[in-house]
Amino acid sequence: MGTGERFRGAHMGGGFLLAKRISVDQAVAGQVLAEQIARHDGVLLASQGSLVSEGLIRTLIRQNVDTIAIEEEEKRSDAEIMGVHDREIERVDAAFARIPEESVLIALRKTLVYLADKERDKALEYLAALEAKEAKEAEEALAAKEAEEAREAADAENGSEAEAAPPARASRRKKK
Amino acid sequence: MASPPDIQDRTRAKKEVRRIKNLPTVPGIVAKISRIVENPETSVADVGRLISQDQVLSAKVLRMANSAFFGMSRKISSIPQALIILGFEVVKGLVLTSSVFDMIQKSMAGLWEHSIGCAAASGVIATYLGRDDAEEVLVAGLLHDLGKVVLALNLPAEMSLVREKVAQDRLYFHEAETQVLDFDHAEIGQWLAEHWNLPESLSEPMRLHHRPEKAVVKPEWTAIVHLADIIVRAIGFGNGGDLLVPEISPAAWSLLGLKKTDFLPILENLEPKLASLRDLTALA
Repeated sequence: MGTGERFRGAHMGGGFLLAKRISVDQAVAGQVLAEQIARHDGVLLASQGSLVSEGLIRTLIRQNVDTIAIEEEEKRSDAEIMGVHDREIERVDAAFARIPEESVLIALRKTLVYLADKERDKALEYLAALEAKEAKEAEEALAAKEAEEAREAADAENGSEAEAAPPARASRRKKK
Repeated sequence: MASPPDIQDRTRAKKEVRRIKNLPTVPGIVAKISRIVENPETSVADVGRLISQDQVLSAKVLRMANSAFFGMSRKISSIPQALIILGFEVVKGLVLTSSVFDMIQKSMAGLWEHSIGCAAASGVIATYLGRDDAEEVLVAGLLHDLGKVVLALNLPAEMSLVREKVAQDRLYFHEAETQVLDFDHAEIGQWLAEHWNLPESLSEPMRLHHRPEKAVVKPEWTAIVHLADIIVRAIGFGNGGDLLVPEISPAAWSLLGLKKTDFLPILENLEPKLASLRDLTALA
């Protein structure tokens, strides 16, 4: 990638980082590194997110580093930002087209949509409500199962009592 | 360009891939490492020296070792240090991945990014579950789709057909592969793993990441890679060939013991790692 070229990093939820590649001798103290810088043998010279300083620039020149990537602030219109969010939500909805409504993955889809809208609190609320609803349904299902088991046990007991009872009235009739 | 083969001629395609000489040979360095560790007297330093002889490879391995994958607070500056901190199996996995990086890049645009995304997600899920082998699960995530590399490089015409079916018929990639070839990349991954003599801990997730309920050697690792694959597809990081998110295996979900509320912290732990892994999208 040549100097002056801008690029974006992969980022969830429609957010992104805009970066520009510049020659080391164009670097200015106070800029923020968009990528880590490593020597050819893998030794790390500076981490992503580090502030560029005069000392770092001198080190990079000594280490024969030609170009670095620095973060750039993106100037976008509200419409552009909304467009990115809408596209992300469309993408998520399309990707989940074959997932049935009862699947656990619907919770993943909805969480991604809330995060795309920067609505983390709503994601938390939705998931908490979902958990509470499922806990209640599980409780009700357990109560129903226990009631059914109790009914079956009672029926079984009544049935065996009826078999064990002696035929008293029948013998009296016979005597007459 | 050759015309697509008759899709009924699956036997021919199957034989093509099954012929051992069509499978890529295991990277030389990985074969050497496997040989020397059979000797009980081999030390960590011996393995470190062997890998370090290849400076280009070592640089790639160190970049991966120092990346957001592992989130080390201290920089790893040498292969022997990586062996001590990350362990032999993890470093061997990174050596393998670095060795086949060019092959992965050539095979399918976006596959490398999908693979590192799945690796990151596997590591995040394993850590979230409190496992102490998260780095090794991460390597399984990194290699899970190697079968697609073989398919793309050995059967390019079939690969085109598969991709057409995915787009036109809204199929999952492995469904389209089965329709075109009678087998899928997971099965190819198994053949490759056997050919390369990879341990079952890695070959089982390669073979069963779409059917994790069948795993017996490492069922939790396979379930983690299965879920990680789904999450990375849902986020849209990289491209493994699928347009759609596949359904999760109920058995895998149950085995992992996760709840729906766990999706939010998993996604939030994963996001910064994916953002930081941009520097690995060009490993060269």
